[in-house]
Amino acid sequence: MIRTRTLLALALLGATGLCGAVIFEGGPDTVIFPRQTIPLFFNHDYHVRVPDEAKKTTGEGLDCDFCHEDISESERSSDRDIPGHDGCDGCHEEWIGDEDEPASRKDCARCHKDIDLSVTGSVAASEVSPMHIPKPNIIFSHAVHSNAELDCLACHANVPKKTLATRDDFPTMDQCVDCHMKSGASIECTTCHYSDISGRVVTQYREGQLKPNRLHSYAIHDANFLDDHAVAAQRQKSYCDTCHKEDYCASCHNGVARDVRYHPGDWISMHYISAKKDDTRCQSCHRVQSFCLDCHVRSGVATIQNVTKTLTRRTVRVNPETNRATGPHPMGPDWIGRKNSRNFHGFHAQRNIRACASCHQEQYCLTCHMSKERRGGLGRNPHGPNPQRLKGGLASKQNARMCLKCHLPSDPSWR
Amino acid sequence: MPNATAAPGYSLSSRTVFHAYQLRLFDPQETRTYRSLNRFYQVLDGRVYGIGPNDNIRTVVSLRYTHDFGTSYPRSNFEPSQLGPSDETLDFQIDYMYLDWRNVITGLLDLRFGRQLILDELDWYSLDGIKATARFGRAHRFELYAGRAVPFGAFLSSDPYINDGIELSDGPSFAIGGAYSGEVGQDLSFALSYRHELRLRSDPIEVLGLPADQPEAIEISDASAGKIGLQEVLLAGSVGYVIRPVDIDLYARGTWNFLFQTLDQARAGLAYNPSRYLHWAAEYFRVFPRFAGDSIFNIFNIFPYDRIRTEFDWRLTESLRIEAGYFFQHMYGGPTVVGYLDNPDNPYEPAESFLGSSRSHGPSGGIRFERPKWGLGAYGEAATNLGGNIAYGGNFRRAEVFGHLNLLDENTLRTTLRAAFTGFQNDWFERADYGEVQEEERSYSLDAGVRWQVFTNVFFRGNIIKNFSSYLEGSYRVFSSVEVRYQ
Repeated sequence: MIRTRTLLALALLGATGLCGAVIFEGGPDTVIFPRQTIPLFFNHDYHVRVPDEAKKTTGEGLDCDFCHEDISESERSSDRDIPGHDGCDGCHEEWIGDEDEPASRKDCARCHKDIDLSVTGSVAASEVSPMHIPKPNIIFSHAVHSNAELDCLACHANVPKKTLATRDDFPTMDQCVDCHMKSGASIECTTCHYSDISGRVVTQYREGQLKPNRLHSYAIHDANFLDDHAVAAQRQKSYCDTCHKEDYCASCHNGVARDVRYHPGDWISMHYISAKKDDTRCQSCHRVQSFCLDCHVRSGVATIQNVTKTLTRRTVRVNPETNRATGPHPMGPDWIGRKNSRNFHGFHAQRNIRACASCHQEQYCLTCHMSKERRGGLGRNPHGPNPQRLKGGLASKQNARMCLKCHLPSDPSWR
Repeated sequence: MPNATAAPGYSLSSRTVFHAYQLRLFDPQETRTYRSLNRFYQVLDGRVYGIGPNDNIRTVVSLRYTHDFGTSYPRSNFEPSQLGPSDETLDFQIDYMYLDWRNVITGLLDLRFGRQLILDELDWYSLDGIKATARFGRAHRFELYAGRAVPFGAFLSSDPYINDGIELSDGPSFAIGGAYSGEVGQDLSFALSYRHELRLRSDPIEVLGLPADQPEAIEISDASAGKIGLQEVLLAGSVGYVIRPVDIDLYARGTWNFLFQTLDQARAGLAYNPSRYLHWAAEYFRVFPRFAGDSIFNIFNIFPYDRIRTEFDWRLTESLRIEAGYFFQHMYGGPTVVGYLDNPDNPYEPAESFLGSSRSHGPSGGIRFERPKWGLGAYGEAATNLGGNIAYGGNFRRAEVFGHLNLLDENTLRTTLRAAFTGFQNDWFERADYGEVQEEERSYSLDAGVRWQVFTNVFFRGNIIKNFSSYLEGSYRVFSSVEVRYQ
């Protein structure tokens, strides 16, 4: 019953997600077009609508450039071309007034929000909420698009149906890219995005960080991207290079900063579990035989004893009180030792040899696994019943050294 | 790599990190002793752009100084109060230092000389040598490199970028490799990488338990010293395709190890991205352990593991985001029967089976709510098993609640607070091997942090973390970093 409920809940969540994602598009990225504060009343719908007596609709039927008169010559994204008092007073002179005859409070409130109508007298400048339209973080020329004879509605399709138009009505990158691809215009990143001195796209802005769009869907920086960005990097590293220099990668991968996003909570206590389950992620910053071994020695998990005497070159601890080996795994005869022991160490080594290598050097394994032909060798064969890695590859033919660690050169068994 | 010719200029960034934390001593006497570890890092990255003919040459360097103050405790004694030889270390490293010559043949060929990080389908790789990059339009790009694989522990080398098994005592090495990446249209991409490394082992194999003048030792030494060994021959390839009409992205890659004729890694996945705010993906991943060619670990009876996972990320509104995931893993190995009873009538009568599970799985999920001035979130994940016992690798549970408050504007001064719970059950101890469920160890931590853009080019970050649980009672971790960027 619980499973059925859980499945239903998950299905519902998934379905809701799909619907929600379709519903919520949210306009263009807020890093590209930062949030605005426009405390005005305006009705684009009325101004552009063509009056039609038959349909009993009213409107002014204005073209866009009636108000945005310089827009077709604008070459910078920071150009606003939003009409101010000077632009509007051609039609609404009586609402605006002048120094000699200021507009009434009621007329000001026709356009300006937050005008207090409960008081009398003219509106002081300090009473008018300021408009805040930050500079867009994008390279854009209306002139280029206008010269290409693009209609305003190609990018601003929603505006004629809106009252106040905001940054939400600007095109998203998906729309821009679609159009650029269809028309053969450049889709190089730096066509629209600012680049730094190295030629890379600038990603850090006051409003936040610029992240990939669906054009490069494999590189979408979703919540899990920190964990699986290797896939994107292996697939098209030149795309990563569009924004990131190697020092950006190295700031995490060189193992200097233990980032809380990657090593959260009590990481040290649980790290070995993650290491056994997903060791490739550890290896992207840490090497087993330097980083791991070093720390294991320091914390007493392993020790390096007299390294000049080979037979004592074993990286295990000996408890001075009992004179017996001790460590993070069983040290009794069932772990390693007599022939009919339970041989737990082999079980673990087969499943994750890297865990062994994080404490032990090869010499420790050789004390038992050395060939019987070698003096002192116990001949415990570590290759298993199907040593597939020994057959057919280049290993034994072109690097005999690993074989010679256990076998004599004259021993035919390893050739 | 961006190929626009850069205007003359330079950039410098410096990062100073002090990181101190306490390692719980592994101690069978359970005295809960800690060792304090203090590390200081100074990283300096510099770039000079737009020099040489036609502003086509740039130089790039990343230097790192590391001072590990050590624990001052002897490494082989349980008694922490007994001072012994210091394990303090000082390192000066060059992560990379190269000269980049763009457009040696205009629009076609770039060259790079010096110590560089090779990043390709295979891995990170630290190389002293030369790399040539040829570009054919936007769609096709070839790389070829040759040089010395930087050895471990060598003067000015940097550990994280050096493969396990490369030793200071090694003789000269020679590595060659190449990569191709290409696109067909906007949606189909290919990548291919190859690396071939040879290394001279200048030292003889140390023969265990034998004086060096014994005939057996001499025979082995003669056969091993001064020989050139093949260390790596790897080929990796990947293909990706975006089926744009249905917003599905397909991907597959693999790494073939010629040294052992095995598939080191295989990966395949698909993702569904119907909107900027919704992402779902599923992936299969196989990993086979690999060491440098000389290592005997390569030829033990070792096995791969398979991992399947899925992830889901949905931004419901501009402020609210949820994520969820699940993984399933199968660890392969030899028989779960370990050892045999000492029965003369039946020498192969099994002694015991591993009673844990070779499979583990677990969910993850999180929710975040972010406003310009503040944010709140929670995240949790777990790894468990299918049989009620401890899965191979152990079980864990982790949960966090976190929040931030921006004291100035959105990115100038941010304070964070994070409370975390960690629970874990080891499979490593004897009791687990005997099929018993290990009692869960638990710890709790509180992390207070600050990120502050002090000036336009100066950034500070600090965290102090205190652990409260019985497992890590009283231990601390302190992290601070100051970064200065100038260009």
